[in-house]
Amino acid sequence: MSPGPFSLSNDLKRLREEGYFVQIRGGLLILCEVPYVTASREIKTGTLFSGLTLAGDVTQKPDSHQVWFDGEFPCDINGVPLTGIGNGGGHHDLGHGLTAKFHFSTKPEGGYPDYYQKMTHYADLLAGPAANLKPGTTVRTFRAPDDEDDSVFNYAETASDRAGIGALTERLAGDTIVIIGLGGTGSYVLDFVAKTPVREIRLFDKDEFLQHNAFRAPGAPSIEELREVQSKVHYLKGIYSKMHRNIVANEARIDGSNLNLLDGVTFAFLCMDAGEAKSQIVQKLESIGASFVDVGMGLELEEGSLGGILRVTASTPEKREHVKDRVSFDDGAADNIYASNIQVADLNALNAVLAVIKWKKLRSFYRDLEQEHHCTYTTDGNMLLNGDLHDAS
Amino acid sequence: MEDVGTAVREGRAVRAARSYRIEVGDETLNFRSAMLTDPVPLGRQILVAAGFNVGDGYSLFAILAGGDFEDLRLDEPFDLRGAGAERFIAFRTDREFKFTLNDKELQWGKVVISGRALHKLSGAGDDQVVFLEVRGGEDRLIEPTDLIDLTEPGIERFFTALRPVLTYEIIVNSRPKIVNASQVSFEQVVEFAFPGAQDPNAAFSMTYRHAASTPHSGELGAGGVVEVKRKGTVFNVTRTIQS
Repeated sequence: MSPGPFSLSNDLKRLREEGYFVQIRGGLLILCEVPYVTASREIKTGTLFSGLTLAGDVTQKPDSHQVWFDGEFPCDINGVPLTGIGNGGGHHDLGHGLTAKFHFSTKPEGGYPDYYQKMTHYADLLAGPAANLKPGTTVRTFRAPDDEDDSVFNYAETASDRAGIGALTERLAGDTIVIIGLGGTGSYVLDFVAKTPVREIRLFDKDEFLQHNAFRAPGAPSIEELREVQSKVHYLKGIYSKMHRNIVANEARIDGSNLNLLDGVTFAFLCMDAGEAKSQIVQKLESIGASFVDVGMGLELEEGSLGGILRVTASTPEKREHVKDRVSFDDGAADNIYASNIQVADLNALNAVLAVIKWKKLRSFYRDLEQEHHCTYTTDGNMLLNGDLHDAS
Repeated sequence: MEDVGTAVREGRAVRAARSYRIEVGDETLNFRSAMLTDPVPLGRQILVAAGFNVGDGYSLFAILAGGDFEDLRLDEPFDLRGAGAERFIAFRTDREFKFTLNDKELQWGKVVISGRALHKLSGAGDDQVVFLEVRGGEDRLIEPTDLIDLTEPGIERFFTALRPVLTYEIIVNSRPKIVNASQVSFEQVVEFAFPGAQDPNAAFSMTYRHAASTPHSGELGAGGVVEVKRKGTVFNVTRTIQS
């Protein structure tokens, strides 16, 4: 994250310059070693957390006046709790391995103009009694954090922490994702996965990004970009590595000869044609214990309009058997009489969305009461169907 | 003892006897035998012999050999020996509903009549079914358990005819297709959509909705069967292999 918010945002810069021990983790601003008085009139230190509103690593006016605090409930010099700033203990999982016990909310007239004002206001409320009890106690420790930036993003992901779902988003962070096939559906899968903190995203596709692909992929390439005739994987990496740091582009088709390139993968999106390679890839993924979803659509032009079925079939170490009945493994090219190859961007996107939602359900980000391992969407009836439920035989 | 029914069926006059056996039915056409010593009983005697309570305000009809009804008042004598009638129906009502069955005008004391009752009254064989005439529309086939409301304005006109061969109209990938049985299989639908020899390895995705069987919508796999409606069960079938 360089140059990073601490050099680009005046309020954060000022906090550091004045000796406040602040750091950023995910989308959280953290103020460490805040002294306060406990109910037994001891002085201890705790931690204040605030969400961050950033625009390109530059802080904006805080959109919330609330903070979380980890420590005991702070008191005045006589050990009487400061109930004016909040009450009620609990357990707040903030993600990034951080938890807090209390949630505070005090708001000056007109809110806080910036994060300097917000953090120092809360810090003074807590540290003031401590300084009265023991002169010389201060929140301004002039300690600098070890600036370990292990984020997979080029700038802080502030959406989740702003919404209070940072801990849920973290459940996705352990995955090493592979997207095999970066056509219409695969490129939309990348669009959604690149916005999650997964450890790595591997891309496999041998084909070039040509004019007709532009109309089925997210974003809008210029004609100059199309004239460069890039491979699909490099064109897409060029876009999404602006955001996610760990995208690995492989201009290759995965088949029996290079299955080792899948080692380390924990979740796969198969957005590829049926064929011999697919069954080898599935066998490999099963052998390394990876889960995957296979997506596919079939659109038929009949009576002057299009209709068909989108399919998402999931396979997990707990449930694999249904895949052979649901997924085509034969080479579609061999029987071109039914291969219409009609695809439309919005249905590519919908198929990708259904696949990504299933992945997030399998990772417990979304609630999953049905645990379906197969799903179809029929366009002409707007019909979404579940099949192969986990508990069903 | 003379069984009037036997005489009617044998096409002969009812013999003089000590007692005469007739059949009396209630409004659900459950018949019971009744024994009468008088060959010319009054309506009231017929009811009593069959165990009906005359005080309950019953009406009585005789079903004549041709299938027509003959109205019979309680104090009116009926000669069992000449009328060719062995069956009577008692109605606990003072209302009568008229309809025609194969152009014969009949009367009914209940507000509804069942397909089974109509079929019985018509005397038609098992290969025949009852239809309700629908002016300017498709005549309605009346199944035995169907109940027809006779209180509708106008006189209902029923007739019997051979049971038609039923057809079912399904929709496959937006195109209407006709099948001759209510059970439609996965393989049939694939054949409609993609005629000709199928690659056995070609996995098709198939969904259906508005089915007669439950669940009314779902996905069908190879070897699967679904019960369709007479009209309007929708199938989609395609190979979901594009991405």
